[in-house]
Amino acid sequence: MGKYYYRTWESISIGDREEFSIEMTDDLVRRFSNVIGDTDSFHISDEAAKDTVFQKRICHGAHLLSYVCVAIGQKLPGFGTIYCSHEFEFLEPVYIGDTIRVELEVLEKLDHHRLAIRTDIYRGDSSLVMKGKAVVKTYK
Amino acid sequence: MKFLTMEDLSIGQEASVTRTISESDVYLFAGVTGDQNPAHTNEVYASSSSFSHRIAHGMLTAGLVSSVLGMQLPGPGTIYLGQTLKFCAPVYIGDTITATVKVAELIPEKNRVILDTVCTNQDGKIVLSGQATVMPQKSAA
Repeated sequence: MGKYYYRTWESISIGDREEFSIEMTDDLVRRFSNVIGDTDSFHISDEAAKDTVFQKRICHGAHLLSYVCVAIGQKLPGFGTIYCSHEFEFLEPVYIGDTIRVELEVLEKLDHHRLAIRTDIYRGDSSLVMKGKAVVKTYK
Repeated sequence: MKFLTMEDLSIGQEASVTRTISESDVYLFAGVTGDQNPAHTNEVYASSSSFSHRIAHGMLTAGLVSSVLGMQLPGPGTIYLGQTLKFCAPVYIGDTITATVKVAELIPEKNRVILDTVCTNQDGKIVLSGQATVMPQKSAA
């Protein structure tokens, strides 16, 4: 897939799917914290994480979400996509070092070149950690 | 850091953060996430797009909402359970965004809080709206 890869609204069918995987390293989590201004939370402090139900550090939900946007912007529908809305629910934590897999599936073709896309995230290859649905507008 | 538990919360309570979205914020975000879409990182391309200039990533703006939830209301220890987001207008580099969260509903039996989440720009225009569902830290932590 080239830099400016995109699929037109007409070329997309309900049921089309794409995937994207990434390892959630400590470095990525700390860099994400810096960008959004999180300086002292259970995401970056082992001490604070001990007091949570998770016992150890987990990734930011918004960080996981940004890889949904990456998958949408690179693969389905790709370049030039406009992100209109999103609803999502977190079901399980993602720990530092886990590999996540974002799964996209076209659910509906809407008017004005928009698509409804299922945006789920799995941890490793099995447990569903986030389920969601986004509405996006294709480039063309 | 101070955190609020269910008992400390009441409907209508709010908190916010205001931040100017710099070019550096957008490039750091692009670097961390790998989202190098030219709408965010190529002014020449962006000038020919419907937005006319580079815009910030939607999740960067949404990230401000999550940082208000996690750092102020309810604060440290908060678990983010879900969110709805609607992107109403673009955020340009240099815009000053205020992310506000306001308690809309308390569900003590499940230790859940629903908050209205809204981001406005320097002109008071709403750029993002939605609702978050969170679980505040319990007092005995």
